[in-house]
Amino acid sequence: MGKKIIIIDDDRDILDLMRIRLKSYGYNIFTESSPIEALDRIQKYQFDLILLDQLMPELSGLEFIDLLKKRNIKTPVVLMTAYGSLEDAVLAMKKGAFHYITKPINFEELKIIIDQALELSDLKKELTELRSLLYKEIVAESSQMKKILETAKKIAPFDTTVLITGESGTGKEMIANFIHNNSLRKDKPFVAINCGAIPSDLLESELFGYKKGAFTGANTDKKGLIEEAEGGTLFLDEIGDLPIDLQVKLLRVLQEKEIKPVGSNKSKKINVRFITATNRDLKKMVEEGKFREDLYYRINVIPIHIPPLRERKEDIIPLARFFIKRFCSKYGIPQKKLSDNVKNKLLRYEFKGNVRELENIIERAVLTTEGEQIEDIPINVSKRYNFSSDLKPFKKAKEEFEKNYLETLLTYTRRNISKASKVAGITRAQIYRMIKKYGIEA
Amino acid sequence: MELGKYKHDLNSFIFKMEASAQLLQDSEALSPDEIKLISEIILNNTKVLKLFFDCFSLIERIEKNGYTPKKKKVVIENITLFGDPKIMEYVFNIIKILNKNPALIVEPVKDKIIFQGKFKPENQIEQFFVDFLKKAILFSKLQIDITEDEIVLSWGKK
Repeated sequence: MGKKIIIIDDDRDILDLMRIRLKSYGYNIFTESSPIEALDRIQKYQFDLILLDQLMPELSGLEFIDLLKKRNIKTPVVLMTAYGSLEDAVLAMKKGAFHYITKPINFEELKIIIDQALELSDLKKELTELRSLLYKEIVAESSQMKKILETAKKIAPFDTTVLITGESGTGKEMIANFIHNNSLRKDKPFVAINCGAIPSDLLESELFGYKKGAFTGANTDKKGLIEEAEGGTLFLDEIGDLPIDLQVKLLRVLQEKEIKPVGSNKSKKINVRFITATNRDLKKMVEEGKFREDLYYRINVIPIHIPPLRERKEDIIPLARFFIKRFCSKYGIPQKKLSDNVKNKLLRYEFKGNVRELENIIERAVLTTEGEQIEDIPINVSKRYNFSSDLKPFKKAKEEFEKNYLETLLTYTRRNISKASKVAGITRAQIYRMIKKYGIEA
Repeated sequence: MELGKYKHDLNSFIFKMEASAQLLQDSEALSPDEIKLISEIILNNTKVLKLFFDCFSLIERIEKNGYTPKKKKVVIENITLFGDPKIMEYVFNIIKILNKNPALIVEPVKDKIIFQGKFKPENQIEQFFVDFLKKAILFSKLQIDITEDEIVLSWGKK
């Protein structure tokens, strides 16, 4: 499908002629004779380019550009000015217009300008997408996640160690990355390693590097990941899987700020910030003698716990929308919406795999849905409340159910108590009582 | 009378005509509706331009005493009024061009015609037409009252 261009001119003849001419170049052309109505249309629908007349009775082209700016609309604009009104054209470009063309319009010249503007617009879009992939945007609607980001931002500039805990798939690496990107080290490397994914006999040489001849196959010197992260941040995921002997070595690195590559007698000074993460209960591991207590206290200067997705339901729909946008852009397919049925299903689902599971579900749904709306998703939601494996006393289970139900209900009804009361079939007073009882934000 | 004052609008008309002609040259790529639309644009713009130059040269002639407006009974579109036939014809054509509504409501009553439409001038040439209507009073017994939504022609009592 051709690029979408909207032409705004109060002269209907000009609109018709330009539409016919530009359509023949393969663009998808829309026209609007009222700039006020055009503004609403641009806000509702995505256009790739705006061709704008300068002299219009309702609103001048320059005033229109100001309004676009105010509404944070970044669609490139080409201003059509009368021959001789170069001042307007220069002013328009100062205000952010991509280019101008003087009337009477030379269509060949206009086509060149349009193609350049579209190319730039594509590059900008690509850059934004790449940036969002690189910096991994964090969607945080729930109060818990907002608080976590606030803490992360506060501690980011200080070189203190951070221990991030949370179930698998909650986004521990993203928070580590967020801290790095908000720190003074942001222009230096962020190196991530999953301690559980590398065999323990290789982990030492991976972390500390080695000297030539240190072991069979070590034909050259090799820098370790700690050294690779010089000046930046090293993220050690699944720190609970680090073997005891390496725990000792890591403790020394943290204390002395120096490393000794395998096979070397010399220590090297390092300047690296350490962020660690785990989904295991490190305190319990310390008690069981599986994790060194001194290392635990050394890495746990700033603890950050990310709650599982089922405990922050306000994040589910915004995250789902974020993934839809990302996957639709990635696969080059039109944007899709979630049906109410799907939203409801997502809010009731337990997400044992957390955000990662939601991401996979949405990717599958985006690729398998043909229309504009995602009508169903391949997950099974139990109609009953899911007990965890340990059977709890009835009172506790009931309270857990009520809290969970209330959170889902409030998210679904966007915190409209009247609507929530209607949906749940209970009085508003009962809802307010439960909100107070469970300390939920109304 | 300065023609240079209307340069911008004239350029715009010329551009529309040129662009239309260019499009028609490659008419195979156009749908029948598009050909019709372009033809109408050419026709309408030609009418406007012709009327503009006709009125412009008439005013010049009157100013140089080269044309003396007559004051007689004129019948235009079944309406009988009092004035100069040429000027009256231009007045009727101007009203049609100035009107922005698809339908122009005409209400003839004795010694009076009320045109109801949308008559706000949108460019210099349209402003010229409004000025022409105002000047037309001087050359006939016609009284012309112009608002954005109504043009009232009355005659005979002056």
